Amino acid sequence: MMNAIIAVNSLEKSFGGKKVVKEISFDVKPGEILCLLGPNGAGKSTIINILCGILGYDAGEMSYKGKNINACMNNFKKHLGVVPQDLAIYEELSAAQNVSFFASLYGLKGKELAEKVTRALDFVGLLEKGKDKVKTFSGGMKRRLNIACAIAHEPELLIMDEPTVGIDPQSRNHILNSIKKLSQHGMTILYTTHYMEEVEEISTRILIMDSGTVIAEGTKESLKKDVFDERQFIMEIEEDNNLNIDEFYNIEGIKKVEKKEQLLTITTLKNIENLDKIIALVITSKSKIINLFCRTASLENVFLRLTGKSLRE
Amino acid sequence: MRNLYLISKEDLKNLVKNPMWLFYGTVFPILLVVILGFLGKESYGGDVTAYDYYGITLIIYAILTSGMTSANAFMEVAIRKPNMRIIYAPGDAKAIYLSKIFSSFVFSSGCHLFDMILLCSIYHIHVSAIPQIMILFGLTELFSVGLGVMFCCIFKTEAMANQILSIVINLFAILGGLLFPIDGYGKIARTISYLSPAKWLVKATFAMIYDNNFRWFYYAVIGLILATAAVFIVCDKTFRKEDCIC
Repeated sequence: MMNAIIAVNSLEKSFGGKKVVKEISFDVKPGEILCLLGPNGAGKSTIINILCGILGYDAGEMSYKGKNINACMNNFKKHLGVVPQDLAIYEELSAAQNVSFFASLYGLKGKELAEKVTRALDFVGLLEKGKDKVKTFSGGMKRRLNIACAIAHEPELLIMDEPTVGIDPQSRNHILNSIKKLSQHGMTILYTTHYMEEVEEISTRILIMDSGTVIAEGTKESLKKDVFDERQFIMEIEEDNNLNIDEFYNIEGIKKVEKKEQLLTITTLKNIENLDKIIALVITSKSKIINLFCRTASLENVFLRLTGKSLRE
Repeated sequence: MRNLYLISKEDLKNLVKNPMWLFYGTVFPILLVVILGFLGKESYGGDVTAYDYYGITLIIYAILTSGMTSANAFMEVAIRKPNMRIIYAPGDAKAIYLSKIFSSFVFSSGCHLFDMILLCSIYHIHVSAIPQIMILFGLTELFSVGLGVMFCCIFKTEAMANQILSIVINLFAILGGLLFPIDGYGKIARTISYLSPAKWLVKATFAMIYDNNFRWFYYAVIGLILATAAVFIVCDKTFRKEDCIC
């Protein structure tokens, strides 16, 4: 906690009597990419808006480098960049004018401002389009400009609230690569999303949220390991009616066997090597294996296991 | 203060680049004066022409409608989203609504000043006590743009703010005799008309121009200062940063 840039402790927030953030605690360490993962309505954006001082909160504490955030909000904001979920840019201005205007709000001016505007536009790959009006841009380009406006003043902490919503895969890849590059340059990033693939790709640590609470925290590896100590073998078989499901339970590590028509799903402990025995049993029962695949732990599965529902439900 | 200046400058640029507001601020009042002046020219005498009357009352009407410009500058979708980023930046959040008041004030004042100069040149509208009229109209402009922003702070959307503002302004205009003189409709109508601030503005202006009487001017100025202060206080109390989140 001592070296955290941000520390949030027992944060609570209600809207109209309904608690949307319930005693949430977490910290953001320097240089990490902390992903807040959760479905819509989990409370991710509310937490971000509270952190940025836009929303008040009912209970709890928040600190920036050990100091109460509310007491040093202006100083905190100087070191903060925010990429909101919506495109917060002027359509009638050029890309460079947008970046320049928003960067100037952080006290930049003159040569320094011009240099940082160029650097930010270059970083998001829009330097050549700097003089073009934003209204002529594609959705992906606007998203990238939205990021440029947030990083031009070179913040210490960058908060990104679902920055890839509704864009093409190419722009999404560009944005995710940019985030990794920013992290390599030492920027701390707090990233919210409900896309598992993004979290898998960029996170150094994850907070999984649901219904206003943090339900799990850790690196993607530790979350998978802690929450998911099983794997599933799924076999498509052509059987000869000799297959006795109960016999599978004699194999070490088998936890559950289900059969639906031609699909045999076998849940087994992850750390026990028993696939050869499973296959042997299927073959000796004169069944033919048409297809076999292994479902290992993914964040999607972790979320499903923790909440009993899919992230996109 | 620097951010307030920067945001106001940007807002002013946005207003100047918006053809609809440029038309509404410059061409629309002139068209109103030309049409109503032409239609009413037989009803007025030689000393005070229809253009003398409408050249003043309809500019006051245009000034009162400036609130719609500021409401748009504050909460129009294309502006509201960038406002969100301004909220994230360091500095006082009040700069958001204050900048809309200042930029709309400068924009509308510029448009209406242009209108007045043009109308006076073309129709030779009788004007005197110009510094006092400038003060009166300037204060009215500040009150009007503040009122537009105040309605946005209260009702949270530009559409709702403009709908209500439009009703209020037109009621003031009709009662105040801006569109047609109401004094001829009897004593009751005359008494009711004093409920409209527009009536006080018209009376103060014509009293200065034709009677060299400044008593109403002082009343109007004091009233406007108090009303504008009230508008700023209500804005301060009702503005919430979270309303800028789209």
